[in-house]
Amino acid sequence: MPVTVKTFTSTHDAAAALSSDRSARYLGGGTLVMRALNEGDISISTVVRASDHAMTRIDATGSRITLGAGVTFARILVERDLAFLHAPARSIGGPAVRNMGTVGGNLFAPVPYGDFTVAMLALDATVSVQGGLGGREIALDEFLQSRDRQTGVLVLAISFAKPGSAEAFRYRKIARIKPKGGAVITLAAHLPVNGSRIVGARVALGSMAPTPIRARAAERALEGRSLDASTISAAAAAAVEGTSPGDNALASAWYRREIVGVHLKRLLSGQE
Amino acid sequence: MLELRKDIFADERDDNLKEIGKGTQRQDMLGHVTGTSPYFDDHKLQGMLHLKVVRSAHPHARLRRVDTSEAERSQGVRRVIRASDVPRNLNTLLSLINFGKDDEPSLAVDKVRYKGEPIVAIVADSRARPTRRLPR
Amino acid sequence: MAKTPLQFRHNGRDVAIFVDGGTNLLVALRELIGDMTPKFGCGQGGCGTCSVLIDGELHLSCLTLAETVAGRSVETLDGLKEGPNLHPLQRAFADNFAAQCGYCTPGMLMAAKALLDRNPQPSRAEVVEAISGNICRCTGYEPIINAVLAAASGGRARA
Ligand SMILES: Cc1cc2nc3c(=O)[nH]c(=O)nc-3n(C[C@H](O)[C@H](O)[C@H](O)COP(=O)(O)OP(=O)(O)OC[C@H]3O[C@@H](n4cnc5c(N)ncnc54)[C@H](O)[C@@H]3O)c2cc1C
Ligand code: FES
Ligand code: FES
Repeated sequence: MPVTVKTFTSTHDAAAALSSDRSARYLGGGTLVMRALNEGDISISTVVRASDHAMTRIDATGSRITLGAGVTFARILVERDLAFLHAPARSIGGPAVRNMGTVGGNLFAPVPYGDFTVAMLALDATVSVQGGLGGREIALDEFLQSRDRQTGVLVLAISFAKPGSAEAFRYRKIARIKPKGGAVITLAAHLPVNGSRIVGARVALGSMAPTPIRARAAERALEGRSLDASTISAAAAAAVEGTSPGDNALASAWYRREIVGVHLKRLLSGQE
Repeated sequence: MLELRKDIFADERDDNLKEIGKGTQRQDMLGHVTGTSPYFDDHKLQGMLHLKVVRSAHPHARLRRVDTSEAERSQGVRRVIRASDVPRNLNTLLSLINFGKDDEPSLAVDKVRYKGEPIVAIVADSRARPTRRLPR
Repeated sequence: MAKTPLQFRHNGRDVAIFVDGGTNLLVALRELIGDMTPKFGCGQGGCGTCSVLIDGELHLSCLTLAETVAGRSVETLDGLKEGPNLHPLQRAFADNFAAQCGYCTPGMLMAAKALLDRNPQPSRAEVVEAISGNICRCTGYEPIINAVLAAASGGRARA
């Protein structure tokens, strides 16, 4: 059953087409949508595209960075100002997937995918979405919690404050196949320091729940402290709190719970 | 004494048979590096149909109902093959050696026992999207 | 349902075809244009044997909606030969036994070309990274890595 492909120059029209048709799916890089179509997924009957250049814009000059939803990982990797995001971008797929896959599509990628979104969540990113009725900004955290209900909206861009220093942002993906492979778990942390104390700690985890989630207990263990051995141990011990990982071919839920603290400890102590 | 028929492979190797100590290019290599070696999937036969297997999304589940109505109605679908159409699996190792016990169906009956177990096979004019319906 | 007209550049030649909505580029190349050099392995992005270059960038043709290449340039293994001569990468693959069954070879060659076009003198690690989206079930990868390095250094086979 062929699908109908609709390409719009305006994001507004694309959003209207998405919100008015339950079987319409937006096509970003298509690495997940085309998989579904190739498998014969009959829930998709219309594919919507938007050719507006704003969708592929990168604004990384100021202190607040905006990535259009259609920006690919390969483009992030050639952007000097985004050096802190090279580790998450490089951890995704092989080179072809990085040339195709987008930041916007990653927000919707199911476990074991969504690595870049874990990084975005640790940076407290905000998502700009365009619905049938209009545009709005929504915190990524909130967006992910209601992700199942976000079908029918168009994501325009994602934005976040640039980390103050290179060490403040850390990322680690645990995979069985290197240099590529789906994540066993993914971790990212943003630890802004004021004096010697962490202020505004963010820890995000991938593959520890159906969507990337914040490890709030670990964040609390870090907040207001200096990053010493006892703080790191306390955060690592709290990492598993509030998580609900699943079993898949890469690892069992039990294994994920066992290792999340170990890897958070390594991430925080800068161990390889 | 075996007579060496050097004429048979005359165009493929030197007549002197001095092969040891030097590299020999495989005959199929040129086809491989130019993408011209033909594979199973490269055949285009007159009236060729494509078969797609619908597989279990669950590691272990009862098959309460297999709904193929949508697939049957789809354009280009010639036949939907269900378990009852292929009651005997002639292609398991056990049946090939006439072991007698045949407990591995070609298409799952009543129950699926592994993720990816075949449930129905759809024969269609083209590979392009035979429909998929997953059982519970 | 009406088919959509689609024009693009295929190995330097302009082609025009009609596609069904949702057709992927691999099907368009193989079934509508008759270029059988990109192979179907999985249709899921997992194996890389369908790899092609789109405007010089490595893409998986099975995951590319055909309509998105309108007006763009698509290169496949069929266009790699330089006239009657093998491309240095093809030569190096042949000399280094970098193909056994040969099914991964079209994708491996395109991934290697994408690398060398950007980075003519890659390190071994860069070669590994460049072919990391391509699966080979036969060679164990070492001969392929050696072939790409040999082509890069312009040298002939390393023993
Ligand atoms: C071989 C392979 C390896 C992979 N490896 C990884 C990996 O290591 N890590 C990882 O995180 N992911 C991986 N992925 C998954 C995927 O490629 C990425 O998550 C990618 O970011 C998805 O983006 P896309 O643009 O291709 O998504 P698409 O397929 O275009 O879209 C995915 C979903 O998001 C929706 N969507 C996309 N853009 C928008 C938008 N702007 N507004 C609203 N909805 C939108 C689509 O409708 C669809 O539901 C892999 C995929 C493959 C095939
Ligand atoms: S067929 Fe495209 S990646 Fe396997
Ligand atoms: S040569 Fe057989 S898969 Fe690579």
